[in-house]
Amino acid sequence: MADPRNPHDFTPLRPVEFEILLVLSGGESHGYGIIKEAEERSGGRDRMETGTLYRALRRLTSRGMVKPTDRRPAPESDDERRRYFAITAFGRRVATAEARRLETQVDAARARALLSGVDGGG
Amino acid sequence: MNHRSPAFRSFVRLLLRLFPEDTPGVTRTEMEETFIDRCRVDRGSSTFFLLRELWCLARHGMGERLASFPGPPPLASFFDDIRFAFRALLRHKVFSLGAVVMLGLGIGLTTAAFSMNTGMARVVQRFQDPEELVFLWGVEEGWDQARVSVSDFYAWREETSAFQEMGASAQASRFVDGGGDPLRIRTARTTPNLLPLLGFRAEVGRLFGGADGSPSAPPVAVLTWRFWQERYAGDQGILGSTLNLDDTPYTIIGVLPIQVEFEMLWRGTSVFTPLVLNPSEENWEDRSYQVLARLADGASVDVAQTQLSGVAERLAEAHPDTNGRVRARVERFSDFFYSGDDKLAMVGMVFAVLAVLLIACVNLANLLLAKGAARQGEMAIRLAMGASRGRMVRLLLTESLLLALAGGTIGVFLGQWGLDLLLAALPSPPFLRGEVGLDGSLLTFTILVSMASALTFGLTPALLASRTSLSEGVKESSAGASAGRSRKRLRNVILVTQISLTVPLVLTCGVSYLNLSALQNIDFGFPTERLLTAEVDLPPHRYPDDEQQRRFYRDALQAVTGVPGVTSTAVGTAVPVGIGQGSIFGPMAVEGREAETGNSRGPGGYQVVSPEYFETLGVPIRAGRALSLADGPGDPPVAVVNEALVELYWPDGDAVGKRLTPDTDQNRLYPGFESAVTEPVTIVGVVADHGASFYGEPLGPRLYLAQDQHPTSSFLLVVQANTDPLEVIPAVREAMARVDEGVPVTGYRSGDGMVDAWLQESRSIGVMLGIMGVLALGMAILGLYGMVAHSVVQRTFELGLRMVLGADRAAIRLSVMRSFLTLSGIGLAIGFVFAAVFSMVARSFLVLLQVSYVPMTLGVTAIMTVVVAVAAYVPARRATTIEPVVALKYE
Repeated sequence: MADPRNPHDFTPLRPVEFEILLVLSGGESHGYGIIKEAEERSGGRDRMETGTLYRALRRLTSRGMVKPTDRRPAPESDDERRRYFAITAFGRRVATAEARRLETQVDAARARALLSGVDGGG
Repeated sequence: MNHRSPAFRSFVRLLLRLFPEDTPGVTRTEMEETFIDRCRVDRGSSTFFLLRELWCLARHGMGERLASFPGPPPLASFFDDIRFAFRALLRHKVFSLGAVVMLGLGIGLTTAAFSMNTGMARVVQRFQDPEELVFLWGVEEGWDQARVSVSDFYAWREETSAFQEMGASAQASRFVDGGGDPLRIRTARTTPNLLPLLGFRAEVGRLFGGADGSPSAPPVAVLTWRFWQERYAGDQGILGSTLNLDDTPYTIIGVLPIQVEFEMLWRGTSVFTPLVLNPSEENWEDRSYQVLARLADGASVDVAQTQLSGVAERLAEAHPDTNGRVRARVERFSDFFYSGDDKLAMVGMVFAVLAVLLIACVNLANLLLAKGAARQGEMAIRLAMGASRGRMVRLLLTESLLLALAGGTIGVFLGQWGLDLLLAALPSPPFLRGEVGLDGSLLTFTILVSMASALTFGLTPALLASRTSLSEGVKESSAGASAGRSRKRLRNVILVTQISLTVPLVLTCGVSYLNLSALQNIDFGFPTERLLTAEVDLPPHRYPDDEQQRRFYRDALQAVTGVPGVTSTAVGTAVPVGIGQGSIFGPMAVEGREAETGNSRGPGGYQVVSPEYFETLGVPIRAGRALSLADGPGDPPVAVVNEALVELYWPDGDAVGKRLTPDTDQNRLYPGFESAVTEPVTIVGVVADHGASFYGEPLGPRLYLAQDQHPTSSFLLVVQANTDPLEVIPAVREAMARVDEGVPVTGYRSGDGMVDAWLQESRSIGVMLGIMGVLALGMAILGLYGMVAHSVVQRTFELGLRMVLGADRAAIRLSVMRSFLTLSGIGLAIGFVFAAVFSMVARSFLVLLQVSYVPMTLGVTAIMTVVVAVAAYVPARRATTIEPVVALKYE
């Protein structure tokens, strides 16, 4: 059953929210996993504090873009107290909308030669 | 900051409570796990990283919490205040940082000291209804915690009604065999009712029952938790098995719980056995029993004392030989565990720490005042634009509250750290560690202190700022006139207060620190670098008589001397480093001065040593000879004494050849002496003074008796090596095992190791005092300089005006400096009075060697004066060197 809400009403997302949706669209993860993956992607440049993560997670959860799951993939290696989060169908649509929005911006940036040559100073 | 500590976890949990628990699935437990993972795995050791994480947690939690309130945000203006305050604080980064650090330090130190205080007071709570528990002591000749005889105990029990229950115990060192290596341990015999009387239950098995105390009962034993863990690894199956104490088999019937540590009650006791009660057998001589009792319902300590005194008086008449001079005393449990001296020490500590907090607060007040003054123009304009006074006071208060909260947060961590330091430093028994901690009530206390300080000192400038009328405010600020009268007076008071608080604190901390560091360089009178000692305990059933004990130690010395790397070996009952290095002997009758009484005849300390002892230790003989192998069991009793003893007994004569006779009547007071010295000893030699007591003082009069004439079943093996003493341990161990495998040789320590262990405590105290003194001084210097300089700058206009009116520049500078130096002089004077009082209190709990207060006093005076002078001179010079017209334009 499709969510009647319009994903475009929820864009632009905050960077940290988009980051979380990005991580979760690759599979379920727990809080610490999300932090790790996000930091690895940025090569350690962008930090994500626990407080920031959970505030965003709460927002995404209450808006129905992320849901906690009961699945725990590897029980023997896994901490009982850990909770996994998954992206919802609606969350995926919002993430797609956000990605498209960013894509048009990135395209524009490329057209103005912002992405060619040297790194923009990092 | 340690993210592994339980305190840290509780703190994180507290912060997490900010998040409302309303989003399903996003639980605090999960957040906590993630947070801890994050701290553990990633850069967990970096304090900055942790602070950043904590800050984010607090910020977002607060945001969520505020957002969760229903309806339109009623707190919008509150939010505005916070945002505003933040911005204002960030604009003045140096000010904010200074204020937060200052508050954090003050609060942290105070919290640590208070936690320690409450923790120590709480120790007694581990007993059941501790307010009913009392010690019943004998009182003899200035000793008010004397043990009593078992017959005293029976009489006390029978003839009083103020106690619902009374129990007795006696400690003994016994040799344990069975279930592990042979070992000498401390045991206590207790009346069967004693452990339950204190409220203890068995962890495993049972405690003694009434039947265990009857003479015909089979011997049983109860283990302490520690001994159970160490020797039996907590094996539940030991119940019913046998433990040999001095070759007598005891059946193990139970184990005491871990909470029961008897550090202060029965120091280091490992095994309890029942005290066999037999009231018909009188024994008034053996005074080795400690009596504990529980007061009857409604009975007060006074009533109990009256009853007990009555019994003691009757006994004194009935048994004049043994009880003639014995009285009795009732002491509350809480007074025993937390004595007057302890309390005084803690009060001193708390005062010192409160002084630091006060200095911190004074500095903060000062900063806030200065800032309040600087912002008066801003305030006036805001008021003129229509801001309400209430709103402005609120804004200022929000700023101070934010500062206080930040300071409080830092304070919690510093407090935990300070507490760890305190626990490591104080001679606290291990069980104290379980009782002392930063708990919830303290956290509240901390937060209240920070709030209170913020309110007090935030409100003052806020009120001052908002009370000024519009015109005055704008005028004062824009015209740059000298500060308002009330503010000026307040500033003077602050300056004097600050100096008068800093002086005693810095002096006391500084002098104590110097004392303790002097202790580190103490000269023991013999080299410790190549010394090795080990404890030897002869099992009594294998070495029952003197001759066997003598032969063992001679064999052992021969075996160890043959070890490569060992140059000399001796045995002795102690090595004079730190505490527990000798037994006490009672007053002596001195040859030539038999009629004298009192302290000129002792007491002093004695050691039993083998002939090789002085040579092995490297202590020179000053007169006569050392002990020798010729001083055997059948020969006339001899002794070697130290120079301090000669000084005491024969201040202007030769001691060699003189005789000392134990005063048997007096010696009853010094248990242990009788067994070693029962007949007159002839002095054959004098050795140089050596060794140091616990506080680094010289040992005082000392007597060295011959091992062959006074064999002991436990002694120290003393080895002088020509290499690193720790390297010869394996070979020494082997040599000792060759003599007799069944004799435990434990506690190998190098001489330097002994010295280090002994100094550890005073070293940590020294570090703590040093830190406190430096903090106090640093805070005071910064605060003073800032305040004086600031107020001179504020007077630029006035100084310019004076110049315009024709005053001499040098005279102006001088008058500015004079006014501040007068204030600092007043502060110093008050400070010295405080310092004098403080040093008297400090003397009761700090070890004070002969370190003089004079250089430190001069130093502090010089520093304070120079700081104030420079702080006044530099801006005054600047103000007087510019053109008067420019000064008049100064804002």
